[in-house]
Amino acid sequence: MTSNSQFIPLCSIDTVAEGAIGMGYLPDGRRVAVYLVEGNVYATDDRCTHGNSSLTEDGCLEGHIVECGMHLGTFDVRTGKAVGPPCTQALRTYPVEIRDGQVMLSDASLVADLKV
Amino acid sequence: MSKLLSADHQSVVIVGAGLAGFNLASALVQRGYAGELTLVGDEPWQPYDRPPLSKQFQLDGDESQLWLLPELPPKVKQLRQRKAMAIDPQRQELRLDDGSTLPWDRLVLATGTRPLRLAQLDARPRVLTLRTLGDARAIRETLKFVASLLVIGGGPIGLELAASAAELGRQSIVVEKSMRLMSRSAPAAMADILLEYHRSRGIAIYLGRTVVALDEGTQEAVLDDGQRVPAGLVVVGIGVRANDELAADAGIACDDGVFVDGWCRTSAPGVFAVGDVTRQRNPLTGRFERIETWANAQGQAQALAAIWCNPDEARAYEAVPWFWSDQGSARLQCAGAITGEQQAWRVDAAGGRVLVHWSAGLVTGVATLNATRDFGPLKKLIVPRATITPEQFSAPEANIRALVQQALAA
Repeated sequence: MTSNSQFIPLCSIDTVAEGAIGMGYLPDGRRVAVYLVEGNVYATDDRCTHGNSSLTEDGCLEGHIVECGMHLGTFDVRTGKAVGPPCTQALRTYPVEIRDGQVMLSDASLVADLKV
Repeated sequence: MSKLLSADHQSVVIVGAGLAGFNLASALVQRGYAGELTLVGDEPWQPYDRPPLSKQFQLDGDESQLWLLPELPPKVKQLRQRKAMAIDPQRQELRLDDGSTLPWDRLVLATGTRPLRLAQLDARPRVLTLRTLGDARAIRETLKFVASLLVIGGGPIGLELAASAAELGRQSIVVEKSMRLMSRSAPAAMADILLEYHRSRGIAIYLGRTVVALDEGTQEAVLDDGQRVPAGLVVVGIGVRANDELAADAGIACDDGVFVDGWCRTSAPGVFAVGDVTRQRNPLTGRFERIETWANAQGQAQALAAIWCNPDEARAYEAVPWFWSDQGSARLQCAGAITGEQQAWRVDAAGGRVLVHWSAGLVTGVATLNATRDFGPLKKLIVPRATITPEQFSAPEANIRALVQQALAA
């Protein structure tokens, strides 16, 4: 096993435009939203914690803030924290990094967790 | 404006524990208000969110999803099932239904509204309205053993409920006395599309009709043209009136709603109001209106907390009114004015509809149906009075987000 085995590729960084919202999939099939802000990459759950709407499909990114299209609630993509109503519950975030042009889920314990 | 927070001996009393009252209490705590804070509500439950009552709650009955979060800390004194009876503005006291009085330095009315009823159907069994969790429970329980739901009134709550009942396999009927749906809140052209949508899902909609009688024996309603429609359960959703009696009795200026300025002040010193109960200047129409939306209850409460806690930076509240209404799988969103002398449509690749209104060349209103992606960006054009032209908007190749960004940057 190489050290790469503790990383899961989410998507190619080429598919994530600065200021737009990219999309990747976890091994269990769940979709995650991928963001590129000022050269840094972030990932969160795709589903808004309030209205069950898709952030990759209906969300809008402004700086570090993603706005859900359904009820206009907002989250900070760096922390997942809900910053604007009606959202109050944080979005789950995923530690990601860019390796060889891929957005990789990069936390070993989480990766192990998700592979089960 | 005086600094409230500098004096921690202050006492704030909020009447009404719905979204506006809860949010104000929550925001005050968050902003470090250290004085006394009492939230008086006449319902038995902890503060809860009302939008799901006509939708998700009807489908799954899951009350744990309703509570407003995060829960208020213990330092907020919450009185439940306590009705406020009278305000004494001179002595700065609020009298409650158990005879006790609460002293206040600042009093906030967040008493909301109550559904209008139909005199000819009052006191009939199985004729309900929807405002509270208690109402929603009663509707949900009744829907379990009736075959049909008749909603009187084609507004957002009625249509949401009709769609939920249809999803539950009940026969849904809507009777609306005007010639269109959602006449007070959505553009006519959008209402026509909603009408088609609901009819295509099997909901029977009668426009320009009223219910004149109920036949208990056959569980039918009789319309003004003599037609009979199923009416296992009847829910009246014809609008609301403001719970402004407490204010009116204290001599505070009201007209089916408590008049407030952009600082949430009523006509009585020290008495404020937020949420559905207020009658405030609509920044788009210039008229004093009741803005009965979730976003307003939330925004006005937040604004008042900011005004009190950070008076130097505070601004008058003049947010663009907007709302959403999820009716079955139809996601309607409207912001700003529902008319304008110019309008244009787009239909996106997935069939979502976007309707924009212009007045004097400026965007004054946006309505979308299943096009949540474009709603937020377009709504931003309403406040700063930046604009895009109908031609730019309607161009088949137009990228709405890019257009809005360009307009806002210009």
